[in-house]
Parts: sequence; C-alpha cells; structure tokens
Amino acid sequence: MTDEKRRPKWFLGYRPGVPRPTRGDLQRDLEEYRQMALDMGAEDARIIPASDVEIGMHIRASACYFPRCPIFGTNLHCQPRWNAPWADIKKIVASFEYAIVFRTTRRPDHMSGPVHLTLEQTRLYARYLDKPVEQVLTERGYPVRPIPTREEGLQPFRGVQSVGGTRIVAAIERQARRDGHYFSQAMGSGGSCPITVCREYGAACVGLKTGICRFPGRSRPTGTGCWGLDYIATAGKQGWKMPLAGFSVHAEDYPEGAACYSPAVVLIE
Amino acid sequence: MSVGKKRDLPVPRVGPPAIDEVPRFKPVWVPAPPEELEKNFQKYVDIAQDMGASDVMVVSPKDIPLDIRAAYMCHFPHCRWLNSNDNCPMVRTFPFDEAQEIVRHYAYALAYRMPPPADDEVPDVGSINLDMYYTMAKGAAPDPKLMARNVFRQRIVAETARRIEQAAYYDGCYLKMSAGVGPCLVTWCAAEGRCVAMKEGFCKFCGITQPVGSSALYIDYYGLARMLGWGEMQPGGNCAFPEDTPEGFDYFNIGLTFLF
Repeated sequence: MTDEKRRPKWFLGYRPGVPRPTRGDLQRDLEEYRQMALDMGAEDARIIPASDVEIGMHIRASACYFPRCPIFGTNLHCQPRWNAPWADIKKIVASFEYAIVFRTTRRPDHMSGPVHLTLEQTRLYARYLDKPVEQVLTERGYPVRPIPTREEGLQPFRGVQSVGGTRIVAAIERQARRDGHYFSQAMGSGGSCPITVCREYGAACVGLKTGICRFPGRSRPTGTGCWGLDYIATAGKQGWKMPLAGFSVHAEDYPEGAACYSPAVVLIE
Repeated sequence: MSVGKKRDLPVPRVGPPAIDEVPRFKPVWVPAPPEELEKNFQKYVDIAQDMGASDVMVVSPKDIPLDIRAAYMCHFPHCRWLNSNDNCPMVRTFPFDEAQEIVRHYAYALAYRMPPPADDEVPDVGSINLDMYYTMAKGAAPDPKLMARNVFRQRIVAETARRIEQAAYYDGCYLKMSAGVGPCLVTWCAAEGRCVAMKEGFCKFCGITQPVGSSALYIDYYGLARMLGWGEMQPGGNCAFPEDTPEGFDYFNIGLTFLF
C-alpha cells in the first residue's frame, strides 16, 4: 500500500479545478442586465466586449492629479485612498469578457456652468476665507441659491427619469453576483460618491475618520480616478458624442435639446 | 542671458473668480478626432509666447527623457519645500513605470522655454514672509529680492500652463495635463503660507495645482533642454544669483503641457 492510500480523506483529499456550476446562460443574463439598466432610467444600454473599455494610467493621472481634482482625498472611493496598483487594475480589466455600458441623461444646468459648479466648492472656500458662504457668493456676483437636492438633480429630463448611474451600476453588480457572476465589478459613474450618494449629508465622508462607509451598498470607486476608465472614449466607440461640460461652459449655450450624458460601465465575467 | 517680457500677474486669490471674470466658452462635442485638435496648436503657442516664452516647441512625449534620478533631485539635498505641500514628494510620487506609462501615452507635448522676467524691482508676491522660509536656522539669508523673483518666475510658468490647459480643455482635449513647475506652495499658496490640503484634504487651488514634473513624472529637464537645442540649463536655487551663471549656461524654466 502506498503512503497516499494510507492518508485519511481529510488530508489533501480534495479535487482541484472543480468547475463552477453555471446558473443560467451568460448571454441571457447580459441581456437581462442591459434591460435592467434601461428600466432604471438609462437612455441607451449596450453589451460590449470588455476589450472595448478604454483604460489608461494617464486618465487616472489627468483626472485626479494633473490638475488636482476638487474631490481628491475627500472620500474613501477616490484617489489617493482607493489607489490599487496600476498593474493590478490592468490585469483585472483584461480578465473580464463582457461589459454593460449605458448612459444616463442630465440637465445641462445641473452639470455645467459657473453658477452650478461653484456652489459646493464655495462652501469650502468660505471656510478658508472665514466668511459666510452667502457673503462670498454675493461679493463675487453669484446668485445665492441652495444647492440642488438629489431629487432636483434627478428630475425627469427629455422624458427620462433616472436614478443616477451609480445606483444603476450597483444594482446590476448586485444582481450579477446573485446570478453567479461573482467577480462582476461596477465602476462608479456620474461623479464621486460624496456627490452621488452623500450629498444630503453635506458631501462629508464619515469613512475617512471611522473607516466605515455610510452607504457601502450604493457607493462604488470612481471609474475615472480608480479604474483609469476613459468614459468619453468608451462612449465614443458606441457612437455616443456629448457636449463637454465645464466651469466656463454656460448651460444656456448648449444647443436646443442637448443634454449632458453620464456613461457608466459594469464588467461582467 | 536672455530675458523675458515684464509681466504683471496678480497674487492668486482663493475661491471662485467674480462671475464677470469667468471666461465663456462654447460647448464642443467630445470625443473629437485628433485632426480637429491639431488645428489648435497655434493658439497654444500664442498663449505661451504672450506670457513671455522665448521658444516654444511641439515634441513627441516618447522623446522626452525620463530619468529615475530626476525625482531624487528633490531629496538629495533636501529641498526646502520637500513634504511641505500635497503635490511634492514624499507625499506625492508615482512608481517610475507608471509615470512612464502616463507620459508615453500622450500624442504631443508642448514645451515652452521661460526665461526669468526682466524685472529689476521686487515683484508683488503677496504676503509671503520670505524670511520665515529661508532663515529658520539663523544662517546667512539670501537676498529677499532674488527670492521674490524666484517665486514670481515659477508663478509665470504655472500661470502659462494653466492658460494653455484651459484653452485645450475647452477645445475638446479633455485629457490635457501639465507638469508642475515649482512647488505649489510657492506658485499658488505663497500668500497663504501653508498647505491646507496636507491637513484637511481639500486643496485651496484645486483644478490648478499639479505635482512637480521632475519628482512625480521623472522628467529630466536638463536633458530635455539639451535635446531641444535650448542650451545648458543652470540649476536654479535661492542662493544661485543670475550674475554668477557660468558661461555656456542659461537660467530658464521649461513648462510642459501634454495634449490628446
């Protein structure tokens, strides 16, 4: 009798490489997730090969560091807190086969222009200037108005009601994991989690102090800053063009009916 | 030694500009094809020349010399600004291979040679207490006029980079990126005197400041100047007087803005 046969069953008695039992068809699941995105308010959703998802270290650098992003370092899901090595990120994204890409629509006046974009930053600047935020705004000629709430930001536009890209990617990721696609990864969309999730809480991240996220089920690491995802190029491959939003692009200069898009990506194995 | 024009730059102010001062750009549709973006190069060259650049050149980022030793110029000897702000080493560094990947991805880089401004008087650099920074050990203090000019010189390059980046972004080049020249505590927050981001995480000049090119991106500016035919660059410093510059060397900065 050999030594191996004398061993009890509990000693190395397993069979490596057991295939994972598949629960359903991947293509059918992907179609279900695509439909799920549309049902939750996405304007367009597609199934694409994961190789079509454009990533690059330079995107991470230009979005967060060069120049420094206003949200940088203010929450758990942005740089430099969520800073996986770039070699790992490349391997993770390359290991996926498919991705669901969709876009949600936003009103231009909620995405672009000096009045909108200064509101949140001005509150922080006012702290440094040691003045009330209303005084800072008035001194510099800005209209004083409250920050639009989440409900105002998500009001129907062009007949589409959206719950926001981050909620949709989180829901799809959750469903995919339930369906047996355990390693599915959602990339945060539509801004960083202080804006998309914790806006009602003063965009303050309790996770930085306590280490525990307020909404771990809803918030996701930002696609651009953490995954190095080029949303605009990935959307461009699907033929989706969008007007560029920014501090100096006034919402009233947008062409009639034009909207700001927020593309979003979920990687499905 | 070549000298640039006299420029009048106001001391940077915290917070959003007055609403009347915000420039207004028309929205462009992205992603834009590279041939569309290439048409705008002359605009960026004009901005750099308007700010006093003596020479501007479009280079391929693949030709920019990167050297791992460039980052250690900040460490040995210990730079006065090392660890003093959130954009300088040792706080902000990238691994060398990641920095190479960042730089090599871009299609073009705009390099501009910025000589020191032809100012005889002390430029207005705000309420910065220069003595506080340079004479902590009660040693011999350098000329405060020279230090103020050094602060102003780096601020000119930073402002040029900001203007080129602004124009490039609103032209549709949304991945534009400038390598920082000089510590941001000097270029933008000199009047504030300290880096708030180190403690609170939120930068007072976010959207404008960036890590230093030599330490974060390992750019060998001396090799770059030689490659572009701009002569030998004299290492600057708070005790490096322009009149002591050896023959064959020149006193200037190089700004770099990566495009596409």
